[in-house]
Amino acid sequence: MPPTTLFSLGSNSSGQLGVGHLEDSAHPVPSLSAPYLVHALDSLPASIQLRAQRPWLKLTGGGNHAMALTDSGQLLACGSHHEGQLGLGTLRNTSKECPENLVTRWTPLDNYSWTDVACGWNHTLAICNKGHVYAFGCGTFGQLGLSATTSDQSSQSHTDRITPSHPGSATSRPVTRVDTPQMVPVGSPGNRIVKVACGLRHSVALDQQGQVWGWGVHRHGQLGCPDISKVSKLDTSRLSRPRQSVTYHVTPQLLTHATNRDGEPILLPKNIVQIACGQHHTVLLTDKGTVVVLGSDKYGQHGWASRHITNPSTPQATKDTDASLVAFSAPQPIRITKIASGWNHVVVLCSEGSVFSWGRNDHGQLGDRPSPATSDSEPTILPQDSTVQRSYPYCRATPERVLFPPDAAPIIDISCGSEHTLALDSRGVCYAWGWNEHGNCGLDTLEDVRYPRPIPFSAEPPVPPSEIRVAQVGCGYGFSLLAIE
Amino acid sequence: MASFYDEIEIEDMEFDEENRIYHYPCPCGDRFEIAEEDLFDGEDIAHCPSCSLIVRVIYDPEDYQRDGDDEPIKLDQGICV
Repeated sequence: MPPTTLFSLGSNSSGQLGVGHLEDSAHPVPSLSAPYLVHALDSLPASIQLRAQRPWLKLTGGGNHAMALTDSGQLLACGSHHEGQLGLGTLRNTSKECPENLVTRWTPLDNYSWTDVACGWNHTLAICNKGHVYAFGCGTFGQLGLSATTSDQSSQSHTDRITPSHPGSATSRPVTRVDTPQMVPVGSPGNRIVKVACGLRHSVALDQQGQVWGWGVHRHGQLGCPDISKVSKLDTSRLSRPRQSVTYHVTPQLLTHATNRDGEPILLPKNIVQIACGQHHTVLLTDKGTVVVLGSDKYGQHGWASRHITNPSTPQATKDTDASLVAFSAPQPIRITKIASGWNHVVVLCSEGSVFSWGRNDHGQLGDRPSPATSDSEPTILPQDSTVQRSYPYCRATPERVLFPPDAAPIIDISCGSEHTLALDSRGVCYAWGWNEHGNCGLDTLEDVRYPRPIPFSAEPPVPPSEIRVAQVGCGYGFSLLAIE
Repeated sequence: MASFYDEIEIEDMEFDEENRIYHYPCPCGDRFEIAEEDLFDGEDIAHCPSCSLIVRVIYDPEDYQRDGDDEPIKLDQGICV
């Protein structure tokens, strides 16, 4: 794979684009590395532009910060460090280019070899190569998974401190701010954490046995619900309500059950292979290709209306997952290769290069096209599904296939910002759609993009469009990150 | 009619003690903000300074009543007579 240069676009009020200033950009601009970084990393040639000789493991971001993970395990960060979410410790240098606690060029974290990273609104989780989760940033809502009594990592082995908290009896206080990576008490030497994901104010971690742990805000059921057998009958009525009495978990809890469409607690499958988070929901993918959504269903994120239609996306009961939990299951022999989630919409990528979406659609987040034949006309507004309670008009609780332009190749990667979506095809063309008020869809316009449109590039010196190939994509909330060959 | 991005319960908002402002994350990266004073005035729309999105704040107006003096009193704190 040829070397790539990192480009970014969209919202940039805290320097999260890593381009050396704080101005938004409605087209891709080259990211910059911190000056001293040029000599610090073998993977970066002596150029101020942030280039990598090998593929990135992950490009992602939160509300105002961005993280890029190299395949040698180096984390690079930029954007807001006000809550410590960059993990860079106390920043001393401030300048006109970098006001206090803002980092406008990609800057490396010290001393760890990382394998995954995820960003919430103002917190970050990363996994080290030993399978431990580290957290930094804001923990006001318990999203760091660090309680004030367990933040001292020196004495106990970290598996000893996994203490279950019971609804209504959460007495421990969360650590509210950490500016360097701190180990979270989750996982064990025999059961490493392999993936992390962050919602607005909640966090989830997938262990190598296929179980999911969660901490942080719990109010919408995004961390599942208690096992009914452990709850007195008088209390079961509240299980059917989306709002639960426990507002957050300070320390990691195993996700065991979730409420189904009838409000009953159902055992979650234990063979999870991928996790993703929305604003108030959590998305799980099982090894059988079944998607389950926990938490908020305000915009049809659970995909439950699909039981009423007969198309390839109709959920089918699978051996591993209770049918009443299933949001989406790919028709055999197609496999789901990736799940992604915006704040209120869900996107899945299938093995044959197709993409399905459901959830909120008021800014075109789902990429609906009126029909394959038309391209620039306004899409038709889908009728509301009466089976899903909706406060807002533009959402779709039925997973449907996203239609790309006729010349698009099979899609090989997807990523979601808060209210926009990116998809990369096998030719290296990146498509973007959804909310575009900060230019995060890269069309030099701030209008919503209602269906997938390729992001154009203007390079200096100019090169033919056919020679520009997007190798990788990632999103923060209001911005997009692209690795360009 | 104004179109709200979302409806946010006051309990979900964070409170900036220094500036007496309630705020909540906006998908653009900035924050929806409404001053405590605005709640006492019966306002319920929080704006994001960086984009066009607005949210409606759900709160109980009874909790934000003035007692006639300049200093507002929260009713849920109780008043001793």
